[in-house]
Amino acid sequence: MSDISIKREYVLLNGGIENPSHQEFRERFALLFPCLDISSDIYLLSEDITKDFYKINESLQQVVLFLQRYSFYRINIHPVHPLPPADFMEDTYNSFLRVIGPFNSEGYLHQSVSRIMILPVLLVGQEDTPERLDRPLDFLRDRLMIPSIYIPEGGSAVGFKGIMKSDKERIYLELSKGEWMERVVNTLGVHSVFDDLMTWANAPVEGPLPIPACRALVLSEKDGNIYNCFKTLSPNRPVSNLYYAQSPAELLRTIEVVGHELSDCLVCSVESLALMKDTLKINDREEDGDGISLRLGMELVRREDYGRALEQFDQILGRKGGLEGMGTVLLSKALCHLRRNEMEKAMAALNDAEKQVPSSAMICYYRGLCEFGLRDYIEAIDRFHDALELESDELSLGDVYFYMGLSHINIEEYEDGLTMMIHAEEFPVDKAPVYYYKGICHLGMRKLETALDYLKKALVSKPQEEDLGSIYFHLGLCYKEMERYGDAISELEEAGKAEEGRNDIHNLMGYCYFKLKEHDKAIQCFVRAVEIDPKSAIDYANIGVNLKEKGETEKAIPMFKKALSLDPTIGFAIKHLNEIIG
Amino acid sequence: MNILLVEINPFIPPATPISIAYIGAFLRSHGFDVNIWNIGENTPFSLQVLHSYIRDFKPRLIGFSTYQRNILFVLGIANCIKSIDPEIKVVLGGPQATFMPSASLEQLTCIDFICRDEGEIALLNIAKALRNRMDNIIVPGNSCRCQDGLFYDGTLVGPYKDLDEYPSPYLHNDLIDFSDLEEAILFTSRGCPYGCVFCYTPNAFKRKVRFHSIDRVMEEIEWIYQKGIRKLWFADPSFSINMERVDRLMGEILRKDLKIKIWLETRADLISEDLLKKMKAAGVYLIAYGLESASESVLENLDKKISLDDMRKAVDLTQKQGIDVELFTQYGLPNESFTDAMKTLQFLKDNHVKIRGNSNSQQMQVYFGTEICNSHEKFGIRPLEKDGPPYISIGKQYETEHLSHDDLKKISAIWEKESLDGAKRKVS
Ligand code: B12
Ligand code: SF4
Repeated sequence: MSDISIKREYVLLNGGIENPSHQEFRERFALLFPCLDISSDIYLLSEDITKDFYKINESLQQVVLFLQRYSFYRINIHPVHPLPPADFMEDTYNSFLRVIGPFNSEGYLHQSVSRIMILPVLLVGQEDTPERLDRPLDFLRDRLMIPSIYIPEGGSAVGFKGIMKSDKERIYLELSKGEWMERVVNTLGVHSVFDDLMTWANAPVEGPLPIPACRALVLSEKDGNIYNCFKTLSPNRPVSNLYYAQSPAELLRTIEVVGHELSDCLVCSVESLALMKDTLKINDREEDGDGISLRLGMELVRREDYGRALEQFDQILGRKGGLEGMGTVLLSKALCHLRRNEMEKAMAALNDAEKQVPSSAMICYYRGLCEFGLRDYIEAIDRFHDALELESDELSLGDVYFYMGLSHINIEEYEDGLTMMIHAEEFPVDKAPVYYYKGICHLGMRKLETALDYLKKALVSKPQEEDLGSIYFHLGLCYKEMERYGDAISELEEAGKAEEGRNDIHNLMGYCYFKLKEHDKAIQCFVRAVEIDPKSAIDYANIGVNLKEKGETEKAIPMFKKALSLDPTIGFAIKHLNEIIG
Repeated sequence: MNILLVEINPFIPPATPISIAYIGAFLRSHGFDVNIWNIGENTPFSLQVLHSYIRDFKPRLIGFSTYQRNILFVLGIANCIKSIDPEIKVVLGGPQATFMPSASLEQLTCIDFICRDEGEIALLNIAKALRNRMDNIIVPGNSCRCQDGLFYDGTLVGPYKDLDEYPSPYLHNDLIDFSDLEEAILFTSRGCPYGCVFCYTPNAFKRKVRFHSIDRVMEEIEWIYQKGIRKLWFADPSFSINMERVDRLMGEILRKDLKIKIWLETRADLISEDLLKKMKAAGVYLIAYGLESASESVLENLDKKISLDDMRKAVDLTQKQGIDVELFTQYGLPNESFTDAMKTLQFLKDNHVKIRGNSNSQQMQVYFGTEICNSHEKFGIRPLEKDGPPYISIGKQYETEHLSHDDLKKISAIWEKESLDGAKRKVS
């Protein structure tokens, strides 16, 4: 048996009035108490409390016994049911109050709150007007049983908005379809996902925190089915059964084994938040929703799911109507567009962001990245400079120097590029790319030995797999420049293994074989190069040159002609062709 | 031998369990295997988790950091542990335990020891006794339940004079799980030489102050920094009791160019303009001073030995340096009238101190170990509840000569209304 701690339990009291299994249900229900978290919520769902009163009362008594035995537990009980006649309602809740009375005294004497709270959720019927609700709600409030109301689909929420008296009193708008219990569980479930997201979004910890999984169980009295997520109720995918498990240990084991896929929980979080839109409005909690959207958006960015992240940011922006105070959201939106290579949209978001947060280092940095993406490297360098001058804790200086260096390298300013890479290296950035580009700079500056050193250093600094081809290629290029063609070929063979489909690798290898006068191998390389890129004029010309060197002038001629048909400016092809045909 | 130390408070998010981490590091250095449970709001924890943990770790000794606020939960877990394995010994330590009347626990058979001394030494004594199979002896530094079921007080042994002799709760240790913590709590000293009558520190630390060396504190700060934590709280009772030392510490933080945010608590008469400048440069963004009351006559009775003028000057100087100020205040103090209580609120407003965070006032809590608790009649405190459990002190269930229960409720409501953040305090 391992570690379970269930935060919420939804109990479907659907076994009928004369349900013979109720006795068994009671016993088995209590077996799960040890799995409950020390601060947990139990929802007892009844379609008709006048009939199910005794079941709710018995469940409450069982919880009370458990709490008496374990004084480190706190449990909230939520009876969920349509509003019964006033007298019945008052008698019922007065009797509940008597059951929990000793805990109120215990709380008082320990200068703390009661370890059990009754927090009813009343389902509003067609005929229940806001005025009709006043009496039962006040009755509950007077007894410190914070009430919430549930408005079924089709019911009108108008008029109810003002009747809740504190932010602890909720209005649940029905968010789901299906059978009665299914709809209610799904609606309560979505709300609880929202509550967990609230805690998650407001956690004081900076940086990523895992999306919370529900830690919920749904129990069905009728058939004993146990579901470990409210979403598995509708498709009827129980994980266990209260009545069939041989022993408590087996029961717990089966529940524990079926874990949650965290990616599912992320999807569920996004969906639940979207479903809550109207409910948040009626509960005046839209700001809370925005807070979650922002954090959820950030989490999606972290998982590189930019499309869905944008939906979250747009949701906030759409609701706000104006851009005031939206600097962070706009910046995050810009980042998503950047990552999706939508530079124009990214720029537009940055322009909006700037109106909210003028002189922001982050905006300059992102602008730099946009310009970089648009290949305007000179402009990019200027923006990165601005970012550095403005300074900001949020700025990752290593990244700024790195992209600045890369921009210089792209316009062949290798010395400046190198200086930036040296700066970048001082910060916590991935070292392999930095060494690689330092190698490229030295190569550009024709300091070939140093270039070799850095490229080799990149190789041993855990580079990304997709970068291996380039590193080996440039090692090959260095050796070629040093006229060490054999060494160059060895590196290029490695490059080919890493990235077979790159035409430039075969081209360079062909050149090295040519220099070694191994014309057949050279031809093989160039043939592979034109297979990869049939429009590569230079490689046809190279095949021609090698054939000519081998004395196969007849075969060489069509190669030169093909090359020149693709690119008539290749000087050496013209020269060789003229030599052959006079 | 395995020892488990527990910090539980299901009402607040988990914070650095600094006291038990100190004790844990110390016991580890003496060859014991120590684990920590830090259970806060939303920490997954169930009876089932407890069972499987106890079965796996097999602790011989379990110690709880006990506060008035969490004692019900502590006793619940202790009871449950005894039902799993009655051989496991249970110790209560922490602010609620140090001065708790022994008799109060005699009927609670789940408790074996109450720590009365510095936690490190007292618990080491128990651990050693258990390792040597000397059950049922009176262990120095603790009150111990003996075979007759009664508690007997061991002699007090006193603490180490040089705080650095206690191994760091941070360095070379994995005692503290930082994954869900935002801020690290650090102590550069223990104890306070003053004798405010509502405070438990003077009696607990015998009005002596002991310090960690600056080198040790810096080592800890750098370690925490490397873990990626950028917020620090120096929780010393009176952080700048030795101003020259604090000046050096700030200098070191500056020299290392650490980009950290610091908040701390100290007395208003223990700062200067130069020190504040240096603090600001080193990353101090908030200082919380103990004002308690803005009525001179009330203050005098508290033995706080601080003047309102000192207070005003300190607030002004601090704010001028661009450092936020919070003021700890209380109502329901001895000799305080409703008008006095309102003066305190006005003082904050007059001095531009925002009513949020620790500046949200609270009713004085009368805890064990404080002068007021020891002689509450003398201070005009009238407990409301005579039949409460003996391990719970008066707390805030009292009226005073001048303030009725309703008055106190009224004052609380007035403060709450003025609060900018829904009256969320950080420290009690
Ligand atoms: C830092 C601090 C916190 C921090 C960290 C707590 C921690 N210790 O890990 C945080 C923010 C989490 C906190 C929370 C609270 N705190 Co606080 N906190 C303090 C503060 C400022 C310093 C405590 C400290 O660590 N001192 C240094 C260490 C070394 O000393 P120590 O804690 O006294 O522990 C010594 C002994 O008690 C003993 N010991 C402690 N734990 C254990 C455990 C065992 C097993 C053993 C054997 C010994 C032992 O050994 C230690 C060394 O001698 C004190 C005020 C003060 N100036 O002391 C208040 C103080 C301890 N807090 C107090 C209160 C009321 C609270 C809260 C209830 C506030 C709230 N409203 O939520 C919560 C309760 C937390 C809980 N677990 O239930 C009161 C406690 C009064 C009481 N009798 O209950 C104090 C005394 C402040 C006051 N009002 O006078 N607190
Ligand atoms: S309130 Fe502050 S100054 Fe007064 S005794 Fe306690 S720690 Fe010292």
